[in-house]
Amino acid sequence: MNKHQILKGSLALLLAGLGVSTAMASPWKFGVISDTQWADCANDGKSPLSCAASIIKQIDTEFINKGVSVVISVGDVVDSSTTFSFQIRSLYAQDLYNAGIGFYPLRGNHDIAPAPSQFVATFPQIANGGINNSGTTTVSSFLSAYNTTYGGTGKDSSSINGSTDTYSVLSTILNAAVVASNGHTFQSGSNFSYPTSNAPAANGTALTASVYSFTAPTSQVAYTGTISGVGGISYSFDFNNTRFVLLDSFPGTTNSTSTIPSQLNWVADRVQVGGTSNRPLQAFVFSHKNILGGNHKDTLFGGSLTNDPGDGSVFSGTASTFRKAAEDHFIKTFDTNDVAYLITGHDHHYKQSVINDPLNSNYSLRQLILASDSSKFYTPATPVSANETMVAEELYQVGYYIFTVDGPRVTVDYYGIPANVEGKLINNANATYFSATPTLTGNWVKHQTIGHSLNGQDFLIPQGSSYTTVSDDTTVATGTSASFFGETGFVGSSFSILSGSNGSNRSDTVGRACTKEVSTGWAPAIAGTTYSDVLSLWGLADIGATQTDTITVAVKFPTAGLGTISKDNYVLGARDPKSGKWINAVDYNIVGGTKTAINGAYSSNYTLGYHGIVDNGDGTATAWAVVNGNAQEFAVIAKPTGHYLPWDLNGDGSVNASDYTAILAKIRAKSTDTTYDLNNDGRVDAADGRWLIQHYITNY
Amino acid sequence: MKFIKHLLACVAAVGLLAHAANAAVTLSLTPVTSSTVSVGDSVQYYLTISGLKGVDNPNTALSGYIIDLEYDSTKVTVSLSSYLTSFGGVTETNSIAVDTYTADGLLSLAAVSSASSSAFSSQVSSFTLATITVTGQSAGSASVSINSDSSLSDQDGNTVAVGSVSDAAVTVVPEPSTAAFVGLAGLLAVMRFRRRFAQVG
Repeated sequence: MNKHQILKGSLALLLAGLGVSTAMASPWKFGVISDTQWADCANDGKSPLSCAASIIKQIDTEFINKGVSVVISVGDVVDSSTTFSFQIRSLYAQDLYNAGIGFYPLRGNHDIAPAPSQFVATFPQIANGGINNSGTTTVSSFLSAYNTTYGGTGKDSSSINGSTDTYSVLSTILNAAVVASNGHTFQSGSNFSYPTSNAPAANGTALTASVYSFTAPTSQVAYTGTISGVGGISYSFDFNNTRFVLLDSFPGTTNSTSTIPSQLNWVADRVQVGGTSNRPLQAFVFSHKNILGGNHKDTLFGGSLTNDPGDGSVFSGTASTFRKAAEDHFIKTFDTNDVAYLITGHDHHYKQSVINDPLNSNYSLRQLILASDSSKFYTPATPVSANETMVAEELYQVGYYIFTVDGPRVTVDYYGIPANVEGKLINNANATYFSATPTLTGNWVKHQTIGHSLNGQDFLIPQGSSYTTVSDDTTVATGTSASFFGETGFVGSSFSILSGSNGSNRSDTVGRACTKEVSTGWAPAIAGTTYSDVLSLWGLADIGATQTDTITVAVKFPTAGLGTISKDNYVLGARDPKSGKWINAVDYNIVGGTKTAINGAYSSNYTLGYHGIVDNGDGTATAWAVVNGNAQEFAVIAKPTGHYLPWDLNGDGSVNASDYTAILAKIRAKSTDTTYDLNNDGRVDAADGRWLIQHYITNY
Repeated sequence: MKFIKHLLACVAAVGLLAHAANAAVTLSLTPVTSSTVSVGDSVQYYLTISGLKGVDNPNTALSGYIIDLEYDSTKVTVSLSSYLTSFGGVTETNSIAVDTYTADGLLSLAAVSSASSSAFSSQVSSFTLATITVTGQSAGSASVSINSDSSLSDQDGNTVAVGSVSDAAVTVVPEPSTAAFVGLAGLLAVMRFRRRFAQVG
């Protein structure tokens, strides 16, 4: 049993003791945008007052098209924070407001110059009762104030490279790019909370003191030298079945120290399942700084020394003991309450990792560092912490993230575009920069899909290790936690991986081998469609890959009332995410293999494409399939009577050269039919032809 | 004659001017030997790509393309002569998948590599994508245009933006026999005119 299994049991026990319940909810989405500062490069007129406005606008279009309900910004909304630059960021959120999408930012280390109250005043929605709409800051009111302050030729101190952000230039940019408010004002969040008794008023009153105090273990000595009360703008709110906790670690207008230790009890209160704060089903925590960065070694818990990997291990005395105790408290809070992810910015590259508690390695959290949405791209560097297990890393990408919350299950889709900035070192040897604002629209590609479920498990599979340690069942989903998860209709199923090993050779920039984090989750059986419960299976494909290692997936299910159990009647199915159709799981395979049906149990000499079913004789049967197609939902289905292959584009029953011809015809016709968007990047183009050739028609 | 050659060179140079120039990758049509062709005869052009793996796009290689070539079919016709056999030095495990589509005034060329993404690290920055044949139909100037909305894919499935295109400017001259006939007719006309002028004088 691995530590994650132990922890899952802890959550179940916790839930059992509390008897909490939630209501079922339909799947819904929220988006996350990373740092949007524009700095250290030419001002090409698209990023006024150090705010990457053009990039923001292009990503907001993606959020709107993908149907998100809420967008979170993880800080550094501008590079040089002033009242005016904050207002620019607000004006460029109007596309979201007009679409009825709530926008919730937190402060990064570049956002601390004005008083915290100014941040609240610019984004009133983060205060309890505040509304989503920048209508009070219109383009005309902004320009009028700017002209009054700086006249025709003066510039705000947040101007980049000095010469262009005058009144007239801003007038041209803003009038051309900023949409007017459609008058729609709304509150999308509810149940707001702040880590002090002095919550900000609707128009933003600075926080002054914490009523929560983190108490270090008796063996630790509290370090109080740099912690002087909260003073920032941490807040949490609920939307649908989810609690969002956004952390501000900066004491007032200082960014070199951290107030997180003084907020730990508040964080624990907000994410605690069944606590007095009445957490809804899911909880996500966001912060600007990381627990462990790649390039940055200053973290959510404070500054760094030059040789410190970010975990404080080279600190000594009270600084070390207090810091480790604080991280221990934070990580243990995450793990025991099954917070899906800590979602961060600051380091301007994508990283997925699992971070162990520095005092007790039985506890860990999943951290995501988000790809840059600014002009800046950092390169990770040593030293690194022994507390971190690397899962995935990708550098020099512009990215955004779509989180789909489906009851206890969360799916994260990462979309990116290469920034092509390698070698463009400007001013800072650790970072590279855009020289001009990129065109992003129409070029996004989904790079990765990961997930986590409150009713599933997580397994870390190092390179070269077998996947056969991965197994799960619906005990948690149907047990004492069932009322909290809010789902009924499970028939009772189990799953295991019977063969395959992690054959990846991916490593991060500093040479650490990337481990696979394989996660499972369960949804109830679909009446009339599946005869087992629906298994979610994430994390098997490397980032950017559409193919997994060859593995055998087996699902055991009850057979009462199903008649003869035979390969002619039932198969292990996979859901094609594009069409939503349930198909034979081996029809989703990539390249090679022979589709062969077996009556009987899996045998180790069965290769890719084999699939079968065996009646276990105890009222259950096990359907299995040898697959490599990165399907993310499996269930037992009736053997399909028709013929459907996801990539049989002309429907002639096989995937061959004629399908390549079919897709070329669509490309030439400038089709937008997503059936032909095989690589899921939102357009039908040469990349889809290559995808088909590369994955299916190797002997064209 | 020297003047005419100079004029033709200028026309060709103008024809090769880029439509746009804000990105590194350029598609070009360049004559193999000559941009002048007689009616009924043919010349060949290279369709080339350049500007890959530059300062602005160090990791951008080309792994597949669908490129439309457009022309006035009353002046010239355009057909495929040959596709590339390698994407700029990339080792192909399987044959390159090609497809050609034609319509009046259109030659659409498609080629896709099945090589793995890592194989494209060896790709050079400029190479020939195809060779086409241009056949003269009627005398005059004609262009073969590269549709800048063509679809190019890099090794990871990302779109390769076409920064600029350089079209082919073709000069179609009368076929030699026709030219000779026209010249002879002109000579006869001049002689007849002189004779008539001499009689009047």
